[in-house]
Amino acid sequence: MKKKPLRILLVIFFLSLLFNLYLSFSSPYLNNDESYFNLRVIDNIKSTGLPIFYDQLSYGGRNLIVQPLFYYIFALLSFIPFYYIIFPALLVSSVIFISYFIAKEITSDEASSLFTALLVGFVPLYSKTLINQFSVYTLILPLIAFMVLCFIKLDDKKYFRWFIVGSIALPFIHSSSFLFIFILLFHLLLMNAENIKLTKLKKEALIFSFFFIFLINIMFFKQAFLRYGFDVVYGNNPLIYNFNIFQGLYLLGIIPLFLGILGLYQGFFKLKRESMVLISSLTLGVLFLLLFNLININLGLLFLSFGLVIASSLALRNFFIYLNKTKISHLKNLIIIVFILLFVFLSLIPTYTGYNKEFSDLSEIGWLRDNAEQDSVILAPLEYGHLITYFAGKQNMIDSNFLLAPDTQQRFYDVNLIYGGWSYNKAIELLKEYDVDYIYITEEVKNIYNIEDLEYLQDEEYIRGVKEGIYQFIC
Amino acid sequence: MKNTLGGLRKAYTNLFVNPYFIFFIGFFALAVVYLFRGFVMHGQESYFFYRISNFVLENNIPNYDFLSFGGRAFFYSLGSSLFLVLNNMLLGISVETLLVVAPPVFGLLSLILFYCILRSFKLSRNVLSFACYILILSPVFLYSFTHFTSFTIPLFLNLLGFFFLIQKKRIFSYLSFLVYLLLPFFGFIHILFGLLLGFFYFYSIKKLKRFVPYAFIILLVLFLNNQFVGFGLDIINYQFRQLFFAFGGEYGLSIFLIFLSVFGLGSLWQKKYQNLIYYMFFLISIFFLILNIRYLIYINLILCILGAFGLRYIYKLKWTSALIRNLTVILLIGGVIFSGVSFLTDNVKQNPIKGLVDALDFIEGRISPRDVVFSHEDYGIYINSISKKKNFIDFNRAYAPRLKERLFSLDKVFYSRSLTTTLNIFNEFKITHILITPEMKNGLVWNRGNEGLLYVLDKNPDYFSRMYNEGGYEVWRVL
Repeated sequence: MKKKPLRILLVIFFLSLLFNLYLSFSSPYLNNDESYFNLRVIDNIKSTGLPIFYDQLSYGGRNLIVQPLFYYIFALLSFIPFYYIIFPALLVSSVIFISYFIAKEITSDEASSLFTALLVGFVPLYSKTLINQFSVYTLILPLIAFMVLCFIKLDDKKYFRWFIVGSIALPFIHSSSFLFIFILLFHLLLMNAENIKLTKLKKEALIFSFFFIFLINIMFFKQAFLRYGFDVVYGNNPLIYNFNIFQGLYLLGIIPLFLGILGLYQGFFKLKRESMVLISSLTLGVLFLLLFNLININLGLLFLSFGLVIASSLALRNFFIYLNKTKISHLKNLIIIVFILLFVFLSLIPTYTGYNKEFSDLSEIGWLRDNAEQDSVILAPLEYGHLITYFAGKQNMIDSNFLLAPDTQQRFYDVNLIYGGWSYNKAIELLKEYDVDYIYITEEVKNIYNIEDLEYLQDEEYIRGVKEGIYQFIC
Repeated sequence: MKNTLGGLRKAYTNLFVNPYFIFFIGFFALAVVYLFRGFVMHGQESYFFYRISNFVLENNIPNYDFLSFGGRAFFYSLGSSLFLVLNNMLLGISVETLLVVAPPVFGLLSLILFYCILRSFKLSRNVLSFACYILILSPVFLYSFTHFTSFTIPLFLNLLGFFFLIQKKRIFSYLSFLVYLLLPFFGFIHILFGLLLGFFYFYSIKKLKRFVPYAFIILLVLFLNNQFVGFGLDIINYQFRQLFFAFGGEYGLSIFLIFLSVFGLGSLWQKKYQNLIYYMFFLISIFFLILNIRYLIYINLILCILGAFGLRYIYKLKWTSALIRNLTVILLIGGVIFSGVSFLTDNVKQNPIKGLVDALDFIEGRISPRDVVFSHEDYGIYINSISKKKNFIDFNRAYAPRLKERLFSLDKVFYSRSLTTTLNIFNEFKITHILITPEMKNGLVWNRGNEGLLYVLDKNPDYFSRMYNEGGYEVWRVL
């Protein structure tokens, strides 16, 4: 690799890293309560050597399915201060390098590959799904991206070995390994449709990764498969994601979207190169899963954005080739500056403005830790479930670990009813039923349900305010 | 060093393909569950046959079953029960002992027959032994022979019949005919497989004439069925996921066996249409499986053979990377082993467990024979067999009286909070007692303590009283 592009790539990487770290460190808490669940698992590994298989605090006690590799990797890194912020940021920014190399494989062009790297470093979606989050997706995205790169360059022994290692690691990290095999199978289908021959080694690697990922996932999710059958793909999730195509597309970023679609068209109908077919498989496969609601929306959009950004590289290359043929080719540098300005306005600024601090004050949960009885059950919205277990060390009524959790739909409905309903008797009945001791109702919670206070509060016979933002249920 | 390793490899290979070693592994796999749960009856089917056999022993073959579904016509396949009764009468072995001992014995015999049949087709030693190991580890085989089920004897008889059929001596043909004559007593699906297999066998050796006597069996069965029994074609609705063990099928197929079979079909396809007869047999079998899930026990046999071919096919493919080839083969074998081990670990616990038996014993001693006990379908057979009382519903749904109404009412009672609705249904079906188990309260029926019937029972002490409450098992009386 030449020195100049490497330098530019490093600058993009550090810019992206600094951007991520700045946003993360400017927030008092991590975004997404699942981050705190992950921290709890790591704490458990540090104290017992094992992840949490039975969570006594979640849903009043339930079994968990934990794919442990992500937790063990971070448990090993946990001696470094702020490891849960620094390493996820590093991992997210590392996608820049991977994207650069994939783009280079597709386009064989330095400039468009570097632009692709720049685009991938600042996707507006990251502010909602990756930045300041200690999420398994921060590892999954670069890993799958890396495996895509390895698959493209599989004939090189070094990449072949890495692909095998990645295939072995992936199912131990997250169930999205299924997504990877789905993409590869979709790739096989498209390659056949396009009459492009896949090398024997690639076919073999595909067969191996398919069986390995399948077997390991069957082992991990045996209990879930038995309980839900084929419905396991919906993950027992009570939230019905309606894929809002317009909001989704905005989050993907206008540049990657426009250039990505153009790149996919050019790649699929004109270039017909295997690497481009793979990117098309990724994008179309994920889109298919998203449209049929078969994949977590955040994960789906993440990979959709990745696919589109990579596909953009082809559109960029073709644009530069075309530019060189026109009479305004001498204005190339100016056009590059315009492109960078467009990037700033359409990618960087939306990523920055799209970022919100999810939690600003959790002192009431701290109060619950110190004052509530050890076996108390705290009612909090779904988005706060893991915060209750992590910060207060008390039982929650619902959290986002839906798989194997009891009666998630009903609980989700009941929590909404207690917060947003108006029937006093119904609320009392539900609070009794779930043995709730405290209701967590801060301003942030009120904003979620768009309420001033609990509508049905009449007297303090059963529900008493013990602190700003906390009610105690006495029965 | 190389010679020593080569020698070791050869020794292991010889051991692996040695029939006695295969039979030992087979018997061990079937017997190992007994070491954990003890030599006791296990599972609903065992208890069902225990009750029916004892009933036949005491009262001859009845035409009415007073206990199942609160009383119903005696429409059961009698083969297994008659086998138990005859053995008891002729050899003096108790029905209970037979129910415990027969499954592994028949399992081992079936495995030996399977081996002998494949050997007579001159399959290579590797394919033959792989097919046997895959069979041993298949959940369907383990389900059939780790406890007494309606498959235990007919599966053995089918293999025995076919084994006799392919022998050259004439005496074996008569024996085979006799065995096939017995099969209809176990259900239509069993004789159907036997004769289908026979037909394709004679067709492949171009001696279709020899099939003619066997064809009369099916005509006889259809005639007898039409004239006296009225069983119909034995078509049973089921969910697609029940076909797969990993997705909750009680005796479903291993997913990895299906993968292997796909490769096996690939191996057959190398000779294209020369193997047309096998494809036909396979397709017709799939069609029968669509009609009746119990055909799975026979599809499993076919898939085990296809799987063994598939494994050889994968191994013999020209792979670019030997490492990937070996890892893939290990993975596929690992997947098959996982299904088998998974089945065994799920079935080592005795069913029914002590808490349930205590509750059922309590019911036996406390309530009158006319009373109907309401519970989940999974406990119906135990209510009949252990408590010796009438159930509201059990797994023998075929030809059950007012089945649709019962299923509708069952749902209504479980989930309705209306006392009137519940009492009306109880009156209609003369339900006097209710059995509730911890499993029912923890996901089998309800997830929370105040859902449907639980709420009704809790809030209406004037209408229901709890007679028994031990370890989460509850017996309620309708006042």
